[in-house]
Amino acid sequence: MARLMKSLKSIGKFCFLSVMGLILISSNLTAQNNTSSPYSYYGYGELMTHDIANPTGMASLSYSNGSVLNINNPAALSQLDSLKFIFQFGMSAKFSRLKQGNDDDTFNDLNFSKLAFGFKAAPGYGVAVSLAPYTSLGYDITNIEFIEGGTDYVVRSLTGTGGLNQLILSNGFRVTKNLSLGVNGIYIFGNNSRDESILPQGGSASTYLNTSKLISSGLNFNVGAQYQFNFIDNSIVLGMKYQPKIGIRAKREVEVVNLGTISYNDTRHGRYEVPEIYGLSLGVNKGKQLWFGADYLLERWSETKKFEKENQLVDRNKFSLATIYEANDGYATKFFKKLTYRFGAFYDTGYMKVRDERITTRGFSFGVGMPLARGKGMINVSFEFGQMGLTANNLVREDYGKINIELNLFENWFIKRKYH
Amino acid sequence: MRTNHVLLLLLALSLFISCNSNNFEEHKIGDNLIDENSEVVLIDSLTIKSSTVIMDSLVTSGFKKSILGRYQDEFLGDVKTEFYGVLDFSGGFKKPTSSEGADINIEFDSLVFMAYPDTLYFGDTLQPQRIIINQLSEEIELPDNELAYYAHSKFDYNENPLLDTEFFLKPVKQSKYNQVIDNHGAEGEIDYSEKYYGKGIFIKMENADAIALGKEIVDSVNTESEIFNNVNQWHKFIKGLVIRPGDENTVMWQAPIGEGKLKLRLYYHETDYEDAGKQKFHDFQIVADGPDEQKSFTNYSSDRSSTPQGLDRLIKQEDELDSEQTDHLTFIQGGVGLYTKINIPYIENLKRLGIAGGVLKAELIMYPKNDSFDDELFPLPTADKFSRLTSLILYNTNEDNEFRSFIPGVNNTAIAFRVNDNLQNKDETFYSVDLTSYVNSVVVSGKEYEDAILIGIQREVVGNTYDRLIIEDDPDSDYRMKLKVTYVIQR
Repeated sequence: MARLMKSLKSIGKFCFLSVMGLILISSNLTAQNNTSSPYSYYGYGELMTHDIANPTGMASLSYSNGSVLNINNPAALSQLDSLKFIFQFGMSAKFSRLKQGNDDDTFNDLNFSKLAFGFKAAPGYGVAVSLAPYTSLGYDITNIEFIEGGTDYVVRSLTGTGGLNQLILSNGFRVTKNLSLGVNGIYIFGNNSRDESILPQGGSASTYLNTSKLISSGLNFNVGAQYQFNFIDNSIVLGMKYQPKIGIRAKREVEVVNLGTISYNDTRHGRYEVPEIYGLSLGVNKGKQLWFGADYLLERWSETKKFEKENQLVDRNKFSLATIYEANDGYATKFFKKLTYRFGAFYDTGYMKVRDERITTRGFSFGVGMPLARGKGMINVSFEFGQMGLTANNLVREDYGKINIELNLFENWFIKRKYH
Repeated sequence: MRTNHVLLLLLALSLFISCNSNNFEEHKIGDNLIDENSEVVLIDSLTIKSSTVIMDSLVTSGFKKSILGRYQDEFLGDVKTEFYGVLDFSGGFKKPTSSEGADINIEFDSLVFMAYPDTLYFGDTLQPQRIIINQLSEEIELPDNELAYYAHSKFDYNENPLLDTEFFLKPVKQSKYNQVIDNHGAEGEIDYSEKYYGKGIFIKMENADAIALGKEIVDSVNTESEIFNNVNQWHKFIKGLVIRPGDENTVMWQAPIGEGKLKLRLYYHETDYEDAGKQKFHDFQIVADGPDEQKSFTNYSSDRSSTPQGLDRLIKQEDELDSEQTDHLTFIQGGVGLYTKINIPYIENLKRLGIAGGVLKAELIMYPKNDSFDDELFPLPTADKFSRLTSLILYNTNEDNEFRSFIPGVNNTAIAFRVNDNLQNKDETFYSVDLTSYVNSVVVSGKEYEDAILIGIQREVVGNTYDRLIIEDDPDSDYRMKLKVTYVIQR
């Protein structure tokens, strides 16, 4: 009976968290942007990073931990602790300053970053379901333009909203003692909206509004592997990832509304492609508490097409490093000794070229993981500082700081209590 | 940390971030990085075919002011009005009685024409102006199935005028009306005796016919004739007046009807009892309202035979004089009923630019011809002092130049041209009107080739104005008629 109560309570808590997460996601989809960068105009939007235990941009493909849902490499899920149900919810706040020429502008964005849960379903088999943004559009540019030959000005606003999301079902299997394999089944869905509005400056009610929407939903997948070489206390882990190029079904709607009437309307069905991805990683476990890792990721965007047309994108290379130190050796009593410390750094070439310049991003981050009382979970906080783009060639550079907060809740399932 | 604390922290963070206000700011950064899918252009090269037409059947009755006089126009020829009106019965003219109740006979002194003009006029006031008033010989009556009188309506009048004289029009001074002074002072106050101290036009009618009419009226009072007991009898008796200019007059002017501002005044005195010999008067006003309201109307005639652009070619409403036949000019004239007609045949071609597009703004601009106006004598059509809006509006029309609906603006009322004054350089003063919704509807729904626009004075008031405008439309000139369309081309 008590056990039933307990599981009812767990389910209740799970439902509450899910609802809260969904509320935040939906508010995020309507009111908040995940980005404010003008570069989010390009491609499918600004690529959102997917990270485990969050210092963003960290190497992760060769990392595994019994309490961490490593979605990036599903093979890692095979290492999940048994008896543990993990619920994860993440948000990040980004404070950025855009600089172009002599102008600058600041933006604050709130970003839902992840909702996930996972558990070990069977010995050597871990499962996780997660929902996270994949790309985001958030540019909002207003410009006052002089009309050649006249005396009037128009105000032109370009806004991008929405983006692509991924709902991922991750499975990790331990094949042998040293080898784990994993597969992510991914459902991509989203609505990339681009609006352009033009109105005469100063009064006139007449407006011109061009709305273009890319509404899509489709399936793809990727696979991952981790192989561990053990040397007494230490081990070396090799991580790998592969994703094939797959077309996602999409519908493109373009509508022009002028003076309150629709003057043009076009809907086309087609596909856009997500790229072939190769990921390679090397990790070193020193004892049980310290891990170093380095990742290399290649995404072949240059070969992708959107509605049978070249995407005008370039291949993305991403290099990242990370180290994680779990200060708790199992006997810690002091607060600082109970924390997990994480450091990461990355260099990302991005997938776009604007005015012949690659728009790269680089950054570093550090964070701590604080265990909740009675092993109920872990709260991860991290800070990231980075820079995207460059000011040369009249381009835009974004300097940003980011705070990530991630809540991990652990529920102990499947424990049969003995009664005395 | 307790789970609940963490949740609270997350919520607080989200509220904090949500409250930032950058939604309301304008962000300029990055505008050069985005390929705009559209281009905003200004197109003012759309062909406009313009012409002048003359409208039939302009209603000129039922207004609260009379249009009087004549002007000689360099472009529009000789324009003359005849103003018709009936004299108000207003309770009749009762024979006076003494305090004991005995009837008193009265004796005719004089008949006077009185008018308080408006300050507005068109033409030269320095010349003496002839004024002729005739008594109508037929009653003003509407033809069957008609409800109003038109610019061409006419009634017969007696050959010998009641008044035929010259006077100087001083519109500003003569417009000053003071009821007390008009009435020769308030009772018991100043005795103006026989003198009229008012500023208005005050002309004694000394023609034999006027004296005879005055005497006849007085006799009718003395004999207590039916004509002062019965409105219909009165109108049968007096029928009405027509006020005409002489052929050499140089100014057209206006006088309000009603409120004692346009009338005949009969001076008389009583022959017996207390007031014997004292000057008294009775006013016969031109009817301004009531059942005979429509009987005050203006007849316009215009002799265009010697106009430089040969405007006498316009006779019927179907006639159309292309601006190419009139030295690239078009004409608008109140009263006579000239309208400018324009056709913009290729608006729909805008649709062929880009895959889609839209009208942001469309403005029709027209320039008055150089030296065709001046502030003093031949002013441009009147415009509101502050908004500078005129009563020049636009109507949809067809091949037969019929008035259809007016072209509406945003709030579904007629849109009016606005004067854009250029005080430094009067030649560059121009008229403009916002045709955005018209052009947009043509772009969206198309139009018949013969669908066109009439530009002129609002139909409801065109019969009661002498405003006129000569419009320049030389295709080779910068001052041609232009439709300036701000158009968005979608690539």
